[in-house]
Amino acid sequence: MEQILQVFISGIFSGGVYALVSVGLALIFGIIGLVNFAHGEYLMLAMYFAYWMYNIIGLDPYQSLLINLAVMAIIGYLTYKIIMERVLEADHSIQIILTLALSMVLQNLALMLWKADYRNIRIDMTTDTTHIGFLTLSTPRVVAFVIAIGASVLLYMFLQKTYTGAAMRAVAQNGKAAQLMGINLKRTYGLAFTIGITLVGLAGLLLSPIYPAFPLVGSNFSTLAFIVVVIGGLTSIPGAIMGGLLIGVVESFAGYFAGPAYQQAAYFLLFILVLIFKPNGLFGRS
Amino acid sequence: MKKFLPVLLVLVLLATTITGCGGGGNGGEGGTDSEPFKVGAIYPLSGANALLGNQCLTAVKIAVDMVNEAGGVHGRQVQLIEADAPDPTAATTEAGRLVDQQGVEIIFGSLASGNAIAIAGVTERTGVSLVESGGVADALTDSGFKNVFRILDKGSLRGATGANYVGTAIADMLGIAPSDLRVAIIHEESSYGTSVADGAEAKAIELGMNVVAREHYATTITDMSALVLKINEAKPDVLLSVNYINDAILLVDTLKQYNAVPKVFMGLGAGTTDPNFAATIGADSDGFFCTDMPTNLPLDVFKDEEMRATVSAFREAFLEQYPDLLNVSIAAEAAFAGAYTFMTEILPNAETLDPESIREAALTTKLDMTTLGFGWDLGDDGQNYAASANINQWQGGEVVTIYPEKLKNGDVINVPLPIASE
Repeated sequence: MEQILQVFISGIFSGGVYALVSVGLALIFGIIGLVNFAHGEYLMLAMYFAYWMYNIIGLDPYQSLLINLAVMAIIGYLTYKIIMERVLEADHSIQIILTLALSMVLQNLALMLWKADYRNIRIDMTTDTTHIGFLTLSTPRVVAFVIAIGASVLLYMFLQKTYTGAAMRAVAQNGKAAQLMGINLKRTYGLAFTIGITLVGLAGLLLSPIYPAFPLVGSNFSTLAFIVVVIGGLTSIPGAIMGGLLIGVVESFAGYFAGPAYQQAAYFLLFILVLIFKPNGLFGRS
Repeated sequence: MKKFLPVLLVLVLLATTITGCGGGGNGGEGGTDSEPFKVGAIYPLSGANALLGNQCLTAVKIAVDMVNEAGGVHGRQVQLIEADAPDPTAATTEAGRLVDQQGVEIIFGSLASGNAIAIAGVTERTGVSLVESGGVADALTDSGFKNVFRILDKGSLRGATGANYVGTAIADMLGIAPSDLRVAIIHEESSYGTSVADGAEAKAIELGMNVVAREHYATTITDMSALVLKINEAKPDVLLSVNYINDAILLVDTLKQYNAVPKVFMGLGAGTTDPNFAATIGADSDGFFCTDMPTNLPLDVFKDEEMRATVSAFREAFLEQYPDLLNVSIAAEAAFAGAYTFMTEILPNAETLDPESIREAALTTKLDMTTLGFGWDLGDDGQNYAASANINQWQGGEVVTIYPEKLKNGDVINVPLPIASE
């Protein structure tokens, strides 16, 4: 029983990071209606920034958190202004091809500039553990989980409780009507995109003490994020949080009982089951 | 949204499999004496394995330059045509391009077993030789390909070498009889990891050891907690592990976090031999074993003066291009050995440069020594049975060879590992 609880808790902690990666994707899709296939590449960029900050300036990812988030927000906003704003009215297929292309450009730029080396950040905490009763918890994963869930809940509160959040929800429901009510559509889109990229950047920072940065690291997480988002209901923030945690737990139990080779198969199976029985996702609107 | 969902799903799948593309082409022709002798080099020059792939290409270029300086092959200058294959799909496309459009007669490759098997499918159709010096999966030489020649050991032999050392030497050091020794096997799930693990498991069983667990995983794994918890339940004394670098580091970190480090960690190639392994794990890596091809052998191992000069010149030329490296990587050494040996020792023995003559020369030539420190003696399957793996150990951030005796440059330390769980 102790072991089962240990496996469950490990899954929850992994799921927290998956949730954070996915929340940004869900936000961007929910508000702008844009499927960002380059989402994982922003995670990669954030991991590289964390690495450089650590290696050049000596700040670990937690110390450089605010600087890195500011950089990611700027990158997110510039991407929106320079690239995304031009395709807001375009067909979905054009938007998707554009973000796919952006993903490839970012991956190959990273390969060209930083080579394919794995860049690890080794801080004392990397292999630290926290013990709660009989449970052994990886300290960086606990920190990542707490910050990830905290950030996701804050985002949810922001959307629910603030005027700007209400404006974003209004835009998501009906852009034209929201515009007629005086909401600046493009500025709202820009804000949503910037927040989405900042959140995936935060996920990258939290992952950086655990997982190395390399040009293709984003693709390890982006497929997972898409699955989480679809399971959660595409546009739902609580859905993305719950979907992330669910995938983490399913992955962990599958790894323990069936073997790690079946982890992916297990969450793909869950993905298929959700699509069959709840095609709009667990938290999606029909 | 309902209409949009199927499109999204298809694109998610597409995004995970999308690869570069290239063209097919018309059939190429063999050259005359005045024409250059075209050879191809297919390595991952972009993508996750680009670092070592580019180093391998550099090594092959140095080999070609050396051969050309010495007069070429059968009096013809060698022209190298390079291709980038980050994955097996691209490897197939690029092999087709080199063979059909460029008319290469030999391909040097390919770093990854999956790429090698993909290229072999193309070269076999056209009779072009594939000289493999990176992929160790058994399937490459067990599939009946006629024109594949592999200079290095194959996976199952490497796995068996590691397991053999565990059963015959480490068991003694631990004071545990092989029949009481509990061995767990973890491997990444590609043909490479599976071949090596198969060989290790077979040898462990043959020596009467208890294989208490065997698990495999995808290299994209991001959390090894469940794997480590499962392995730890089996209480292994020795962990035989086949990993690439990223997963090797994640595995060791997770073992440490769960206080589940076994008494002995025997890495079986790739990740655990990578310089980044010790650089990242730090002092805790002292005592981790890694079984791999011989690497950076002292020059006095090469008794032949000419070979000694060749190895020295290669290392110098290579490090000139990679000034940040202390030593030539194992992958680059193998790539050089494959290309150089084939062009200087095998092709001169071929009557003509047609596929049949090349195959005959490759299979009948016997060499006591190549630049990798072992000989050349191919079986009918194209596997070099003179190739061997060394048992190495990380000591102070350096790879120290423990076995075989003739290549040994240090004694075993840290058995059991100081960081082993109680």
